[in-house]
Amino acid sequence: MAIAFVGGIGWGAARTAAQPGTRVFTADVGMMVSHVKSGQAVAFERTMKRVGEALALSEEFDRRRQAVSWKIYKATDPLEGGVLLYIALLDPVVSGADYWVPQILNEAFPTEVQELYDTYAGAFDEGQGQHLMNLTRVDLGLAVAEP
Amino acid sequence: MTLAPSESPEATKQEHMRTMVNKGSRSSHVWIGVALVAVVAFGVLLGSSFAPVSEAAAQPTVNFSSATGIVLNVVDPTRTADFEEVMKAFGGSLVGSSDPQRQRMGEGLKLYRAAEAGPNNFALYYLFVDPAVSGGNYAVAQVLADEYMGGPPGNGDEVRAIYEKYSAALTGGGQQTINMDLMLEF
Repeated sequence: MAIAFVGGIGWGAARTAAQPGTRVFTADVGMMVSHVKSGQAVAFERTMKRVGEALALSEEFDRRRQAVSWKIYKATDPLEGGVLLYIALLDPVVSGADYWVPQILNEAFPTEVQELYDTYAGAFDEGQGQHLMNLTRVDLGLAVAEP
Repeated sequence: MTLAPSESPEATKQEHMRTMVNKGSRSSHVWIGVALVAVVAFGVLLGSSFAPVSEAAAQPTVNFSSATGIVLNVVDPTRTADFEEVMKAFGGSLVGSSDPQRQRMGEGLKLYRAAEAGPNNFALYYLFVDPAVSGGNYAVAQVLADEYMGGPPGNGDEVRAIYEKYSAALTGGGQQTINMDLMLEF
């Protein structure tokens, strides 16, 4: 049985994500599911490291807060067609903050942004691209201190 | 679901390039209209690793071969309360176990529910296992059978009841397990 991992994540989330220039989550937790072309792992990961640098360099407090709760995971096995799956978990989301990668890069590296954008945009699998999801935590009632 | 032309990857890429060429600006406005990386396809196939309910609920062993695991659960929208009850019992059984390995397994669990419904209005739950305990068996049914309500032999009725809830919640949906590694933490 084959099923969509993120299929049906919600048309509402999709519209939000597609609005020009903003990637703002509406929930407490966000997830970005990125499908990267085979052979583009280095390009994608290098760009995301630049995002980390950009956030760290920012004079905006919220930008630095974004970095604190932004983790990116990579699936150990590629998907069909060799597509690479990356999942970024943003827990918690910085309320109202824009998570659009090109914008973050543009703020910190304006003279490099075209090249960075081309690298970033060119890394995505054209059929699947990137999905944004709004998540809410379910309290499991575990007697474990939050990190 | 069909993407509007302006949301298709090629169209947005072309739109972006036009914007860059025409404006020649480095300002944030150059990004307006670019939606390449936010393309939404309603139905992204990951292949055949998805387990339907009959297998998902009953599988005796769930291991992760990586440092982190994610389990996607596609849940009947009328049974989300039951599913959450089961997952609380699962987590509670792990952290309450006398087995140190299972305690550590429980400590790494986080459960998230997608705000937007999935296909057929089913609810999507993502169980993050971070860190995944090497060699640990995360099969819900097995953990509940071993640990729930004090473990066997006295927990038979309780385990059967909660397993039925678990199985029913996944009916029509299912479960998918993915091995992940932390690539980057800013």
